[in-house]
Amino acid sequence: MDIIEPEEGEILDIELEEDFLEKNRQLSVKNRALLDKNKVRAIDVMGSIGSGKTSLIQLLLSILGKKFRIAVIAGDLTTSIDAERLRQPEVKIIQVNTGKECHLDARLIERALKSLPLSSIDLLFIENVGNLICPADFPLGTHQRIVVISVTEGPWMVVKHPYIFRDADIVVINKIDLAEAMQVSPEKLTQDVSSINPNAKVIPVSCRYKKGIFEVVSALELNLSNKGII
Amino acid sequence: MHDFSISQQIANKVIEKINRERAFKVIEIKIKIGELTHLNPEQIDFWLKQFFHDTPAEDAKILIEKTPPLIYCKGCGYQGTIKVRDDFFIYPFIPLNCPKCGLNKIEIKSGNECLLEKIKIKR
Repeated sequence: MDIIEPEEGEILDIELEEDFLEKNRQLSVKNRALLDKNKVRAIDVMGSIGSGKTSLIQLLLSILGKKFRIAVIAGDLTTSIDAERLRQPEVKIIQVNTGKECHLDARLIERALKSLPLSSIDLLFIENVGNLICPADFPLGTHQRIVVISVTEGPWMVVKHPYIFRDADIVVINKIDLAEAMQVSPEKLTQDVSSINPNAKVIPVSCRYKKGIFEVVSALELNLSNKGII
Repeated sequence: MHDFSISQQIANKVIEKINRERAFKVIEIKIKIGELTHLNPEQIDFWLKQFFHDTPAEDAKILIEKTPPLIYCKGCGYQGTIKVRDDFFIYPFIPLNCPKCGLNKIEIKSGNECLLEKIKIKR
């Protein structure tokens, strides 16, 4: 049999057509299917550094913990400070450390989901790495996305990071008790969000004074049926 | 920010391919980056050059094309590309409205990709 071998110095075009962000999207679809199969409602909590993501989740746990079986996946580059802050007897908490990575991705969530007893969980909060840029490129497979910002970050937080707000279902503007001192208008921030994403529900909140938390709960639209959350 | 890790994945893929194909040299690498991603071609180019140092891809020409998003407007039915206005001097930012009817009811068909399209190698 004749075998035709390439000659030395032959030039070849190799089609690869490999999409590195699509891989994450495909995994996120798999994550969603797994969550749906187990009737777990998952919420991605994104937001800037120090905006109050953990504080918000703490307050949501205190309200929702009586009604739902909750788990939290806390993402950070390093440390388990957030996981410790959220520790409660009834809540399953997993800390995911990304090392040097600036966001959680669907692969890390896939791994975290494997170590959660999904069939006995109704509600899963995923606290993303504090960052208004990168998480926008990496859907995790959650049902809803919350973006948390705060007035202490100044008046331009929304317009400077439009992409993350485009895909948000709920936007929380935290620390409104400090708005006057900061001379930042929560109304203006709300308008900025609406011009980018008219469908997002924008909620002014003060985690410190527990204001606006019930509005966040109702925006989550959690209706408990006997088969879980619908 | 994640340009580093994405570049690392691209570089690993290229190096895996050139080992399998017994390539002596990589001449060209074609990449397409959607304008809706947070990836910066300049940074991808920089990191790829670092990762390809001392490999057969060291002297490869890295061609990165930015691709505009394709959208479908649920309001007026427009289907086509849109211009992404994300330079720093435009404010207020009016992102991703339909260029025909101006509404913000669009479905994004593409523009989120980071595609390693093809490589040209020499054996």
